[in-house]
Amino acid sequence: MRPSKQAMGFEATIREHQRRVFSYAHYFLGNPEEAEDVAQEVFLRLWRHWQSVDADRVGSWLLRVTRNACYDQLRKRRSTAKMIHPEAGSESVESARTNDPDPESVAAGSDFRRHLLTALRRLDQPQRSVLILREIQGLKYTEISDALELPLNTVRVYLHRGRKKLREQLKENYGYVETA
Amino acid sequence: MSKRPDISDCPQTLERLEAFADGDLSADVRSEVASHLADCSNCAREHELILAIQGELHSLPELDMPSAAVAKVLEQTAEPSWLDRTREAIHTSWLRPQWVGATVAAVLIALVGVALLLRPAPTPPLTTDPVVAQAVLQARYALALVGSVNHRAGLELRDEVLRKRLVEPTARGLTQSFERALDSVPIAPEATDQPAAETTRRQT
Repeated sequence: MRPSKQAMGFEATIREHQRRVFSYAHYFLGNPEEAEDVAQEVFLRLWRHWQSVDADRVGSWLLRVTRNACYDQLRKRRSTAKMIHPEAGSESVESARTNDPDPESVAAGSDFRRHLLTALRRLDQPQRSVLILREIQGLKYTEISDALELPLNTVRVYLHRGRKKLREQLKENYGYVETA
Repeated sequence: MSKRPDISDCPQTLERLEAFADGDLSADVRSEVASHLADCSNCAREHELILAIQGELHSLPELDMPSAAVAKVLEQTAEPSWLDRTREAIHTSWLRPQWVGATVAAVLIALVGVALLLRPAPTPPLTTDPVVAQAVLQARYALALVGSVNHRAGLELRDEVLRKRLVEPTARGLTQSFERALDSVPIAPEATDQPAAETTRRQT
């Protein structure tokens, strides 16, 4: 049976945006399996709201939903970890699923990259999201503002704070004072 | 001999380093920062770290969602075939098998009820000759008993009175039940063998 226009449009949208959604979730969570679950959930939500999402703004909508789904995943991770280790602090819980090296840092053989990504995942929100969207995925300030529903100047402020925090972490935790 | 940096410029320079790395400064300010960086190793190290972080983050690849995960989403959002849609519609509609059964049973019961209500009144059973004969015998016995009682009571009953006031009304009542058979039953009593029908008259 020929798929309907709706089904064809939905599949095309997945093909167009899957990389951005999955990458955002991956760098946010630091866990490929969780990122895969989040990405699936995001596109299933898109299907459920397919009729109401503005076609011109689907990219922003997807990033926003991805961010929310990542928050949900973090909450789930925290509650699961607390069930297993009630005495664990929030930081150890946060990094519990990300102790394994990222595939890309292992492949690159770079300690600096591994330290950098660990420091990235220790950033608070929304600095973490702003840094990922700006520095890794190359979005413009206006696109980030739209996706995260933040004023433009606020995006710039969060970017500045995030960068500064990254440098502090690399210096304090890994002794970086010069280029790697 | 290198120029000693003006350390009073360091805080301002450090604040400008990100914008400097982003290329967001005006030409004049950019020149000032560059000049300070050339003479200040501390600020230069900070600038190097900023560039290293930026460079490393910019080089991180965007990753493709695993194809199996994409396939799973497409499978879960695939439109059902015509056959599946029909099955689903039947399953959720009033045409569900259990509802069909209940509806058919209700219709059958209704039809049976209507049939029962509309059937013609039962025809009373035709009386048989033995039944009629027995009824006549009983009627005659009753009349004889009445005659006997009258005789003992010293009452005189003329034939006409007996017939009009007792025999004929009794016969009419019996006729309702034995309509056809009573047409052949004589209403007038026989003369000789029925004492209640004797036409004696006692002298007062």
